[in-house]
Amino acid sequence: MIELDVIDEGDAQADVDSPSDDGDGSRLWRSWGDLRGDEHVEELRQQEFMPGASEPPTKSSRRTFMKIMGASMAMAGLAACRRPEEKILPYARKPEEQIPGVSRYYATAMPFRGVARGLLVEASDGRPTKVEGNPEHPLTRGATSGFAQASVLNLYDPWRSKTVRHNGSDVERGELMRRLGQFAGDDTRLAVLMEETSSPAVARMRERLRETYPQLRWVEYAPDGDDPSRQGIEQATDSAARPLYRFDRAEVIASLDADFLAPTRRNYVSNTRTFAESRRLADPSDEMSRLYCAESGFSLTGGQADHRLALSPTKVAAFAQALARQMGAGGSSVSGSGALTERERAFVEELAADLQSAGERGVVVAGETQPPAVHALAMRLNRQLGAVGTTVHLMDTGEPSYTPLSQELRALIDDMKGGRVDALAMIGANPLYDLPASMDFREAMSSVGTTLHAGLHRNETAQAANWHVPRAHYLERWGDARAYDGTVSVTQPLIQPLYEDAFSDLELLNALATGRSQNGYDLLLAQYQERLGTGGGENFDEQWRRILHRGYIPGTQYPGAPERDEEARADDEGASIAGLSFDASVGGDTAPATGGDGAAQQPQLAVADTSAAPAQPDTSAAFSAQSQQPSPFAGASDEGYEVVIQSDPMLLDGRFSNNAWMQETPDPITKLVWDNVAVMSSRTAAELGLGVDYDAGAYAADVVRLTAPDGNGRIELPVWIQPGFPDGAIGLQGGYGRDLDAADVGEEKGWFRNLTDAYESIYNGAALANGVGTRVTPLQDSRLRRVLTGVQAEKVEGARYTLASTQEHGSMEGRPIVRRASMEDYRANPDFAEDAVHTLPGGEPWDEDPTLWEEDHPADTLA
Amino acid sequence: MNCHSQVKEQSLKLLKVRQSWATGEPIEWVKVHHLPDYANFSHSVHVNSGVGCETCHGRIDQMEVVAQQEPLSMGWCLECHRAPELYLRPEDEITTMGYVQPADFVERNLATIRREGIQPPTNCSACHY
Repeated sequence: MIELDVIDEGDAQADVDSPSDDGDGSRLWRSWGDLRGDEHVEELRQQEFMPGASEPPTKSSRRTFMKIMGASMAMAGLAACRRPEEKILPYARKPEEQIPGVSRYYATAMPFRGVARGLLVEASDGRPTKVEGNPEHPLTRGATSGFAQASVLNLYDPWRSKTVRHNGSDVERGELMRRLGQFAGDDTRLAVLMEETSSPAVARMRERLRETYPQLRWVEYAPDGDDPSRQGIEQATDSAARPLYRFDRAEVIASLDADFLAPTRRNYVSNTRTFAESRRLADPSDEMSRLYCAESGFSLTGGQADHRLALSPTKVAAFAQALARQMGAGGSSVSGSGALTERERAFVEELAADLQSAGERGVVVAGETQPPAVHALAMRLNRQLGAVGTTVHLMDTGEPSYTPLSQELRALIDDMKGGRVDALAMIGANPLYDLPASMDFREAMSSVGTTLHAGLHRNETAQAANWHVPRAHYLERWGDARAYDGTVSVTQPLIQPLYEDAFSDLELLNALATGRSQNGYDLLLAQYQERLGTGGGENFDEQWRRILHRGYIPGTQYPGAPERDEEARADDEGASIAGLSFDASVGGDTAPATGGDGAAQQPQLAVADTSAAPAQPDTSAAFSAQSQQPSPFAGASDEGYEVVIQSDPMLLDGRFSNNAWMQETPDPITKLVWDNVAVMSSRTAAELGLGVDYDAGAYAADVVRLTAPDGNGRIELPVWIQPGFPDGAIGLQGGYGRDLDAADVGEEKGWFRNLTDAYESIYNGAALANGVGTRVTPLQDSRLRRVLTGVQAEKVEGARYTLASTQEHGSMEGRPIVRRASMEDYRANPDFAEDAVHTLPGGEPWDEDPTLWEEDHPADTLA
Repeated sequence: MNCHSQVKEQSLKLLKVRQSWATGEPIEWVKVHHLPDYANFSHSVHVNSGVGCETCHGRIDQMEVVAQQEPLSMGWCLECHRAPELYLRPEDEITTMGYVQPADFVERNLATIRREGIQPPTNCSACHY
């Protein structure tokens, strides 16, 4: 095994003369300042708090604080400040099982990028307050993500849209219903841009809509554009398969720019858990998995890697190709720029040898930045290794052949402009923010007679649409969705919609289809009555209550999903419902029924694939067929820089941008808060003459101007120099630079006025998200690529921007940043971590745990 | 309504309660005894251990307008938690107003404490968690 550094020393701009020894000759450091031994780092160590942290707030910053905390306070109420006269209002008639102060828990599901996350939500006195994972949910098993945790604050967001709007002014809900009743008809050409969803109920509703509008055009909209994984796997397997990775069974994991541990990934929870299982050592004789990562940024996954290679995004494709060639999987071309260096070739050789010796215990994962060809290649390598069915399961989602979203959108925009669309409904979609201006969606919208937008906020698209409808938060609405593995999960509301005018997705689609207002619960119930009607011996009410209690329906995984372990199966015993069938998905035109009983659930895809490996004439045919298509990286420009645009790990596509919790949470790598930046390596920054200086608790960064390859789009944003970032690449995060309309949030609350004498209306400003960071989509063109080549970058002279990063916060006071040992050292001394720091001799003084009850209390001595 | 659907169902003083029941409008009670949110307090454990109503709430029966009699401060709580034998009373005297402790009450209370295993906690996390 060759030695590969986690961070290339060549990246270190400054020469460190005599690095202090960290036990094995290397030195760990936390920031550039720390590496260079800057004065300010030493100063920070001397202080207990960061500069400014312990100073009293000034009036303006307090005002800002209150503004930021708006939603949090509205949620928590404001108790126990002073002793004003306080009224208690008990229930005149107490609801059954409701005890004030005692929380109740409900199972529900959060829709996240088209998949469901099973949740158990705590309700305090009827208000949802805390989101946790549903411990019984088959895929997530009690785990959750930051997005789910923070989603509860979105519910109480004071900037949420509250009323139905028509051409910029509030109207009654009835007005909208009248309008919807009018334009239904056989010849109305309605187009629906629906947020990606796996809800079987929405799929049925779509069919109902098609009955009313035979010319219905339904586009499933993903804010981040095309899904290269779906395209690539379709090319490699000739079917719509969704991969489920089982890292816990893997010995060698190769990531081709796949940040599978990022919270933005659909299957984040399962990926993280199975990966952690593969790394956990129960005792010294246990084995650990090895993770190789070739990546175009610096990600959480790269940070976990045993062997990491920082490559520009197009070079990752070349790397993937070299890996395939090394493993004898053919040399069909994935075009990527540049040949590999000697070190990179050595990496490929080692990785290929390690993967081959791991066999079916190896797995290759391709990332969302990579073109479909690389995804196809990765799947082909998995097949060759025999990993399909072991470390990667291919689940048959039953979805129809995938048309790239960018293609569908271009066609839709053409039709809109050509007057071939009479009405456009956008539900949970915000194309005016997500799409580059060059796609002309705004102009296209103006050529459509009626445009309707439904969303939580009056966002960019809402302001341009004729109609805006407030959308119910998922904690306020009835619905359903399928988890990543297909498990059907029911979204059960925790609270009535906070605003009367809010529509749930089902209610809105039903209103579009029928022109009638109908309760979302009734709509969902009717569907399930139909589905459950004939199944089982029990009556419907009992089954339905059990489904709601569990939050999911056992045994509804996609064909090909991993077998559940015995314990879980025993748990499902008697709970699965016979005769239950679900439409494959929203996109599915034909619906192969997935039976609830085990016999009907043959993992057909996985079986077929395993038998086909490793000799694969069919797959190579499929692969070479696709490789004749132009790869997105074909013709990549060698000029300029390569830019990678990713969803922000905190704000996602921007739907969490008005959430102060998420804005406050530092980026996992840069540790920046409240901003997005252009992340680059120190060499790239030096090339462009850019720098970042530390000054009194904040960082003053130079500003860079990025110009799109076609010369049209142009953005300016501060730079951030990230050690470990590949040279020549620039990383950007989406979700910033929002424009939310917040005109009617001026409602003043009594308790705010009580709190401070110098009360000013805290809501009179713009929304929280406005003015934070920069929107990066202007760089893209109508192909909606995440990786852009040939981007011109130049320094904006004289501009400086102040950034806040927590990277240098929290001094370790001379203790090691991290305690580490190689496997050999660990096996020799499993207690190395404890030995690395000083502990008090004889244990801690509270070990004896003395009783707090007096020894000689009279009660003890009384005879 | 509970008890008052049968007891004193015609009383004028209970008019508000009946009104509330009929209209569904809750009665606005003024909160007099206010513990901060960070202190957890359970009535049942205190009543079951022999703390009388009067000990904390005073002579409610003589109050024209109900007021807080005791400070309800942490020090005041701890006074009793450290020496409960000085404050407890027999089980059947819990609700008695103007209860006078007999001469040997400390010995009697100590015996109760021993018998019942009453150990009022004085560690922080007993009330603040």
